[in-house]
Amino acid sequence: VSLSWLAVTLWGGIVGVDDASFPQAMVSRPLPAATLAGLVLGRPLEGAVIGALLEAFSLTTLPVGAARFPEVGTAAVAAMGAYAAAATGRALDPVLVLLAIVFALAWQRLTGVSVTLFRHLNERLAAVPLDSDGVDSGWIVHRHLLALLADLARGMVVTVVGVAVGGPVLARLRPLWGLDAASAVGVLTVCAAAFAASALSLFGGLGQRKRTFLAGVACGLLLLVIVR
Amino acid sequence: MSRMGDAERSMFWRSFAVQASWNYRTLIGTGFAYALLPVLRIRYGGDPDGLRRALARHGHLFNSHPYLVPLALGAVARLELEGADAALVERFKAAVRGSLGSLGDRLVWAGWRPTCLLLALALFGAGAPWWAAAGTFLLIYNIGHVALRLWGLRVGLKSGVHVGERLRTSVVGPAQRWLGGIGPFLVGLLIPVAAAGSLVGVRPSLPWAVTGFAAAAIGLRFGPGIRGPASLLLAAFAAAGLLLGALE
Repeated sequence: VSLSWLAVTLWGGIVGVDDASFPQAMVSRPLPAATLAGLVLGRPLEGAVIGALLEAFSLTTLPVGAARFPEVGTAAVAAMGAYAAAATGRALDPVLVLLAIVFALAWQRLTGVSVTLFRHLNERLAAVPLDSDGVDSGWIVHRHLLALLADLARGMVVTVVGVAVGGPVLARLRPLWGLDAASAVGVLTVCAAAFAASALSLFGGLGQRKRTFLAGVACGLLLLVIVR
Repeated sequence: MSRMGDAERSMFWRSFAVQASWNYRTLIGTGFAYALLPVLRIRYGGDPDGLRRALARHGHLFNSHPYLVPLALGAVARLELEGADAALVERFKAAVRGSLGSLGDRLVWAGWRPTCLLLALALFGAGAPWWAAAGTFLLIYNIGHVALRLWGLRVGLKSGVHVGERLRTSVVGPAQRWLGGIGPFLVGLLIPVAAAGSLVGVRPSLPWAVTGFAAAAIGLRFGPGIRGPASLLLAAFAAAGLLLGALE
């Protein structure tokens, strides 16, 4: 096991902790999470592409209240790890990106379940008993920090298991691909555009924000002309 | 440095870990007690039993948006240091619990965070280097994040039980309106960039790009409702691609 893979495992733990426990600096968002994993594995561009696509797909998923939601950060790290484990060439492989994205969308459901289980574990580990009328400060500090460490371990485990499962699966499936790579690019493009557009609902939808939205579309088109 | 100044700083840094022991019974109760501990040690300096009782009270059910926890911490710290009655402190916590949660959800999760992410995605799609998109997001987002926590702690310590009135006249309302204006602009900016394949890193053929615009129209119409069907479509396409290859 190389240092890079150990670093990715540790990064998965940090990403898992950042998601809710500490410090919520949003390194757990797919874009930074997958980009840094890609950098560690020597494929920063692929990391950024996988991160950007998963980010577009996750824009409207909000961690509101006690809602159960998919954990996108560790899944993004695992997907990038799986991509790197399965990739054979140095160039970006759109088919492998597509397979990594599908894997991440499935894996984030499982990592979300791990968060729910962890929170149930915390009920026993760190919740002050309802009938308690006195708690030692040492108990509060130790149990709270123990929960933090347990979350770090959870993040590392779901990442390393994700890479261990996803890497061989992607490596086995990639040679089976029977369509051209352009179709994978096309489908990813279509989904990214649809998911990006769905984010308008966060700001009140088209009815309320038509003018600023259309100004944005015009600037986007202009940007494409300038960049290309 | 004063003892209270140290306690405030410690409370601020501890607030970043307030959700570490999140659970379905007391939510962030243990984290709240953990973050408030430096101030409670001052308040109950010569009274270990009082400290134990106070920790049990504060360790029970509490919830808030994590970035607005310092506001509640500051206000509760002030009440505790003023020697307020435990029942009053509990009533105050119960009163702010829901409002700090919903305010933070709207301001941060549905406002500031997606706005910063849309900016980062637009940058990446426009051809910025791989490090610039993630770096810009983390930098800009966390300037707002840390500023909100600092502001919340100061307002809480200064206003005590009157934080609600302070919130009504604060910059939170204008900030939400500003985000409501810039967010749709960035969504609009991102759609052509995404439909042109810039997020994938490879340019699609014209029919796929046109389909991308059509898909964006569907995304606009159905909002988050497209998440399930679009994910299934993506999985089904991947399965079809693999099946065709296996049958060849």
